[in-house]
Amino acid sequence: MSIQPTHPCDLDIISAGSMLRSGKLSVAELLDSVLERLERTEPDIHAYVEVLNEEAQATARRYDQELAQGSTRGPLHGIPIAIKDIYDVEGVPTRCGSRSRDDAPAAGNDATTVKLLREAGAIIVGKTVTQEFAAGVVSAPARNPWDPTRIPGGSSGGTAAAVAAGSALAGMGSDTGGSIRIPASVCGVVGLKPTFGAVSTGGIFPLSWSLDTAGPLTRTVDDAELLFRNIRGRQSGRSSPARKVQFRVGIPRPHFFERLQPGVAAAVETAIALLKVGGVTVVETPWHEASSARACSYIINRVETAAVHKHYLEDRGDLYGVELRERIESNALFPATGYIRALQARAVITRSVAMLFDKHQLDAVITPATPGAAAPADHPFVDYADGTEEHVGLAYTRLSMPFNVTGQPALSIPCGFDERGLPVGLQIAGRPFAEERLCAIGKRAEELIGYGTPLPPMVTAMGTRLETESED
Amino acid sequence: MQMSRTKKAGMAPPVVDEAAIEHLSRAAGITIPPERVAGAVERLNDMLTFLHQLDDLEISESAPASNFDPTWEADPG
Repeated sequence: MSIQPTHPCDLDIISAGSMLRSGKLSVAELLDSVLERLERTEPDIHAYVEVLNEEAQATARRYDQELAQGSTRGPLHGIPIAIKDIYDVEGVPTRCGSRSRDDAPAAGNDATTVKLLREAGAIIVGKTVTQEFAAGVVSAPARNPWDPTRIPGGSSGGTAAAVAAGSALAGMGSDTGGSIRIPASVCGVVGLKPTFGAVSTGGIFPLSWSLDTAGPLTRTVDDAELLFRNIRGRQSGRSSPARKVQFRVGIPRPHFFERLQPGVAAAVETAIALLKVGGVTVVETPWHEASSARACSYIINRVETAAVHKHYLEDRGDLYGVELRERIESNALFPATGYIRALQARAVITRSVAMLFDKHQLDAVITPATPGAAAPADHPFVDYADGTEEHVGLAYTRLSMPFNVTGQPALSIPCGFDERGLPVGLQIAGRPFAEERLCAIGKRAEELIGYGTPLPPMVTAMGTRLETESED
Repeated sequence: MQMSRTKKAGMAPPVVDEAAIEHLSRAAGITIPPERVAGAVERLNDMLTFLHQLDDLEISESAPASNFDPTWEADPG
């Protein structure tokens, strides 16, 4: 069912890297393909806030020379990557999607993860759209490549849109309440939220200190794992290799399976059935604290955001968007004892999920990544079969936030489409610091579900060129 | 100032009104102009509703999770 890539920019990193190293594709050709796609899709997608065209092309020429001399910088040598605009990229302002930072100075250094990606050979294509200060899931003005009248999710919406559209082979996002997994789900790409603390957040503008994580958005789980291996910190060296080939996963009803769009429910239940047929052990594992986990995560997220921004708001509040400003002002009034109560709850909730995994000997739990597909940009609500609707800010985070408060790693992978042809994401959450195991389950799910990472119609409409480009 | 509290699960969550927002913002040294007070009421009540949901948990004996504690080990392989 998957459609084969037809342009170099539609390749996954593993395939592109292989072609680069074998001489079948040059770094410059790959980057040109990405930049051409970017030029064609940006008028509809608006994924980027700044494109580092000249710097990227100069780097590509240098990396081609190095390949010709038989040397590579690492597994990402020559791979064009997009960076969410809350990460520092040396020489470029970090504007965080906020007018309050329109005059931000150029960053003096790369964020830790950007530095690590460059050391592994990645080429930074540019910086991508984020919801203002990563606080939300709409990511205007970015749009969804599967239907440009719809949102790409957020807050890493620009990165997800770029990866789906082929204007980057992969990108970096951040996830405090679902901001990697949500856009990955609604844009039909893979998103990995690592274990809290496994990847440095140095040089990334904070949203909520005790929940912020940095991670990749890619076309395949293999690529997500590859990027993760190159950005994880030394403190995450406890990661255990994925030695087992048999996996045991839990289905944590009811919280994650309530109030879903029918197309999402159908795609996810089909995916679960395919996992069973494929030999994955699937067990029903109710997690009764999941709803409280969402509430707890929401409180910690919002109160810490208010604390992060209180000082900035005093100086530049008039330049903040109304929605974020109202959120910060109101949440600054939340009682301190309520915040402490949420931290107490966090300890209880984390123990509850640990007991769940131990009791059922789970490698992971599986849920829908979002309760609905991409919502219309002019009415950002998820509509349900019973005639009700829910704002995307509440709806999308309902299924993602529980795993921010527990700190465990979680993937979103494409698992099908709804009746409108919009992508549906499957969330897989594993044990802390067991990203390799999580990715092994993700890869098995990719194989069994069989969708791969499909290309949006606007991309397939651009025709076949891969076979001819290298002959030009 | 109207700010009622309940502790038992299953009861209505606490509710703040515009007067409460005005008192709280003054005490916190935050200026919320009249046109944004209604929005602040709605958002703070949403937060209090989420706080009320934590009443379902038994947390009185639990110390706050001030650091991430990955004590449930990565799988044994």
